[in-house]
Amino acid sequence: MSNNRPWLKLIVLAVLCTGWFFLMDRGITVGGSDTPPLGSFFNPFEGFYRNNSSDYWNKNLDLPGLRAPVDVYYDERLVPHIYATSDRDLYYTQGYIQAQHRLFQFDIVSRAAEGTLSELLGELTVDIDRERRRIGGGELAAKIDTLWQSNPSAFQAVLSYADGVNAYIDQLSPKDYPIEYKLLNAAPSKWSPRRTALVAVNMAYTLNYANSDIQSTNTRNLLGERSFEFLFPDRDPNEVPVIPPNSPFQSRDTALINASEKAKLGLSELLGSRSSSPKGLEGYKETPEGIGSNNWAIAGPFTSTGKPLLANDPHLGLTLPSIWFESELHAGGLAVHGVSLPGVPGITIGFNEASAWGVTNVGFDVLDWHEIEYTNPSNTRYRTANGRTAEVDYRIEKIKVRGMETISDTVVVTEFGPIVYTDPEDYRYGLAMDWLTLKRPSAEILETFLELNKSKDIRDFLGASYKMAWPAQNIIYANKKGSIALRVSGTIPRNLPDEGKFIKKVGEPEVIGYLDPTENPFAVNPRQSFLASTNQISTDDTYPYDYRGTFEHYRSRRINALIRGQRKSSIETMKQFQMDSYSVFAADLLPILLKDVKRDDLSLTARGQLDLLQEWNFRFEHDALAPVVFEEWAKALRALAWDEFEMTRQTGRLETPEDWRLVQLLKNDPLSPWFDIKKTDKRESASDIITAALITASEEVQDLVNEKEDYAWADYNNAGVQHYMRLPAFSRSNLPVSGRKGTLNAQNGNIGPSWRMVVDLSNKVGAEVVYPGGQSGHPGNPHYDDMVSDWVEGRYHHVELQASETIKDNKQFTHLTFTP
Amino acid sequence: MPRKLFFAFLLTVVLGLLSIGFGTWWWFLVVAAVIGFTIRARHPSLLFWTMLLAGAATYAIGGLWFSIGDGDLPSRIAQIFGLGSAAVLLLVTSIVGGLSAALFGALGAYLRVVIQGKPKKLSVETIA
Repeated sequence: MSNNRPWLKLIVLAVLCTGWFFLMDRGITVGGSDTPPLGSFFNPFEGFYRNNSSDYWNKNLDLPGLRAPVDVYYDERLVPHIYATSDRDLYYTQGYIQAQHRLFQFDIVSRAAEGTLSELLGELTVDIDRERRRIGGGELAAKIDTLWQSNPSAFQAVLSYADGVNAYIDQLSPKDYPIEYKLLNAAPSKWSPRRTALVAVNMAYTLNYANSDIQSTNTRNLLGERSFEFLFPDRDPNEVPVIPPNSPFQSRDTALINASEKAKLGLSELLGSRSSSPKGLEGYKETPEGIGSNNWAIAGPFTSTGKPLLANDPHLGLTLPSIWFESELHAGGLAVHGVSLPGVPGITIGFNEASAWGVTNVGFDVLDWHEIEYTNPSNTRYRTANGRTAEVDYRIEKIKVRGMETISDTVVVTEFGPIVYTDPEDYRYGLAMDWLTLKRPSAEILETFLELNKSKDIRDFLGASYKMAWPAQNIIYANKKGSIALRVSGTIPRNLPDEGKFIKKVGEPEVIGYLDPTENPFAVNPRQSFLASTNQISTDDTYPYDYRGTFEHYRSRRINALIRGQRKSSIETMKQFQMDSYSVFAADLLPILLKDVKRDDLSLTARGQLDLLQEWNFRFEHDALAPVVFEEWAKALRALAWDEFEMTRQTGRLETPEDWRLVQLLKNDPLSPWFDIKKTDKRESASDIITAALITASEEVQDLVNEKEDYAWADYNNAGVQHYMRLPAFSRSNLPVSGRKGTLNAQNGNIGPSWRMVVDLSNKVGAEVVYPGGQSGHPGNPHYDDMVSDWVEGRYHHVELQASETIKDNKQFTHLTFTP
Repeated sequence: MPRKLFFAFLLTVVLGLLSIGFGTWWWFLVVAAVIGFTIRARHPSLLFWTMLLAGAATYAIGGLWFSIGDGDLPSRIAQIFGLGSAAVLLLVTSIVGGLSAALFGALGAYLRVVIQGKPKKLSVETIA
C-alpha cells in the first residue's frame, strides 16, 4: 500500500472497523454455541467482570413501593432477616430481596412450568416445552391466579411479593443483569402472581406427576393378570406406615367402602384389562427416580431437652442456585425462619416462636391416563365417560424458539384431559392425561403455608393443613407445648382398588370425587411418642379407603429403628440420623447373597470382592469400594432375575418388580421360575443367578478400579449440584457424599437432601440448618456455593429467631434500611 | 515513545475507562476514533500500536478492578469458554480492548490525514 494513498488505508480500515463492530455487536458461534455479543460481554464495566461483585445487594436502599421503612439484617451466610411493620411491606421486601439474589432462577423455574424455556434457551428445550404446553401448566397457573384474586390474604401476599420483584427488575440496566442473561443475551421479564403460581405448578410437576400406569399396563398385558399380581403386590409386609398402625381413622363414605369391598371380590380384574399396550409414545419421559424426603418429630419424653425435636430433609433435584432461599421474616406479630421457593412469598419449611413444621411427599398416584376411543376416521370425535360421543377441542400452542422459527403444536383436548402422548406409528392411539393438579386447581396451597408461618398450636396446624387442596404432602408439626402431629395433607381421590393403576378405557368402573378432608390419615401425639414419614405407604390396611402410589420401603424402617433405639434423642443424634448412610436394602439382601453364592465358581477377583463385602457394614460411605461391589452385584442380579422384562417395540415400556419383592422371592422361593434365565437351556435357581451376577459385577468393578486405583462409592454415585443451564463451570460435581437412594441420607447423583433442618422446640426455639448451595444465585459471589462443603460433611449452622431489639446491636449482622 | 503518542496512550486509558464505565461498549470505539483524529499523528501506524497498548491496558485495568475480591467468576467464565484460567481470560479481554482502540484510533488518524493531509513535523511540535 503506497504512502501517498492514505484514502486506500482509510477504506481498508473502515472495512475492518465495520467488521469488528459487527463481530463485537453480535457475537460468534464457537463449537455450535453462540457466544454473547463480545463487545458488551468483554467490557469490564458492562459484561461478565461486573458480575464478580460480592456486594451487589447493598447498593440501592430506595424502595418507593414501600409504605414504611423496612430493616434488613444480613448474617454471615447472607441470610436476610427482614423486619417490616406490615405484611404488605414484608412480602414486598421479600420479593425484592429474593429477586436480587435469584432473578434468573425465578425466570427459569416459571418458564419450565409454562413451557417457554426455548424462548430463552433455544431448541434444546423444545421437547420439555412441548410436554409442559400439552399438560397445560400455563393455563393451570392462570386459573390459580384467578382463584387467588378472590382470596384477599393470599392475593395481597403474592401481589406485594410480585411488586417487590418488579421493583428490583425496574432498577436494573443491562449491565446489572445476572450473568446468565448476559451469556444468553437476554433480559428478565416482569413478575406477576401468575408466575408465582407457575413456581407452585412446577413443584407439583416434580412431586405429583409420578405414575407407572403405562408401564403397568404393558407389563400386565405381557405377563397376564396372575403373574402381575404375584410380582407386584400392593404392600411390603415389612414396611412401617407413616401413620402408626391401629390409629383410628374417620370413615364416612360407606357407599365407597362397600363398592371397594365388591371390587376386591373380582371387579378389579376388569380395570385396565382391555387397554392396549402403547408401543412408542412420542416425547414420553420416565418419571425421574429418587425424589423423596424425610421428616420426623420426637415428643419431649424421648428427647434430651424434654421438648419436641423436629427434623426435615426434602430430597429434590439439587441445583445451583439451590431450590431453597433461607430467610427470617418479621411483621405484625409474625416471626418465622426457614426456607421458601424463590418466587413464592412466606416460608415453606421452618419454625416460628412456638412451632416447627416440615414436608415430605406422600407419593399417591394422582395421575391417570385415558386411552381415547375415536368414533370417526378423522379422529375428531371420541367416546366420553358416559358412553356418548363428543367433539375434541383444539388448542394451538406456539412455542417460540430462540434462533429458530416459532413451532406450532396442536393440543387435542378431551373431557378426560389433554392428549399428551400419541403413538407416531398409530395415529389412532392417544393418551389423555387426567391429573389431579390440573383437574382441581387450588389457590389454598399458599394460604396453607402462610398460616403455618403463624401457627401456635395443633388447632392452627390442623386449620392450615385442612386448607391444603393439592396433591397430598405429609406435613409434620411440633410445638413448644409438647405436641407432635402429622397429617397427610391434601386432596385424596376416591378410588376403587386398583383404579387408575393401568391405562383407563371408557366403560371401566370408576369412582368420581374426593375424600372429605376429615377422612385424611393423621396422627396427633401417638402413643409411640414419635412420628416419621419417608415417602412410605401412609397407613396400614385398617385405613378404610383404597389408594395407590409410589412408596419407599427402606428409609421408614431405618428411621423407626434408629428412633426406637435411642433412649433420649438429641439434636446431635437427629443430625446423625439425617447423615445416615446405612442401607436396610443391603442389610436385607446381602446376607442372602453371601449365603447362596457358589464361591467355588468365582474367579480370584470375584472372591476378593466377596471378601470385601463380608466385612462390609452396609453403609454407603463415600470412600469405600464395598458399596460399589454391592450396587453392581444388585444391578446384575436384577438384570438376570427380570430378564423377562426386556423392553421391545412389541412390549413397550415395562415395569420391573421392586427390590423388596426380589429380596422376598430370593429368601422364600429360591427355585422360583422367575430366576430361570430365558436364553439358556438350563433351569437356573436363585443361587445360579446370584453367582452369575457376582461374576459380571466383579468384572465391572475391576474395570472401574483399573481406571482409577482408589475408586470408591463417591466416584460411582457422582453426587453433584447442577446449575440450571447445566454449565459445569457453575456446577459442583464428584462431591464426596455418603449415602444412596434408600438410605436416610438419600443421595442419588443430582438428587438428594435439598435442605436439612433440625428444630429444637425448647424455651428458646432454634434450629440447625444447612443446604447444598448458597444464598446468592450469582456464580461470582462467594455465597453462591459456600454451604456445599458444609452440607457434604454434615456441618450445620445454628439459627435462632432474632428480636429486632437485640439484632440491631449484634455486630455479626450487616444492617440495611430500605426506605420508601 | 514520542510525547504525542504517550499523551494519546494516557488519554485513551483515562477517557476509555470513563466511557466504558459510564457508557456502553461502543463508546470506547468512538473515543478511540476521536483521539486518533484529534491527535494528528505523523505516523498513524505508530498510533495503531500505541492505541493497541492503551486499549489493552484500559480493559485490563477494568478487568482487574472487578477481579479484586473473593468472587471467582472470571475463572468460571474462562472454563465456559475453554480458556483455562482467569489470567488467559484477562489476556483475551485485553486483546479485545486493544484491537478495539487500535482499529478505531487508526481509523480516526487516517480520516484526519485524508481530510487535512499528513501533518508536517513543525506543526506536530506546535500542537504538542
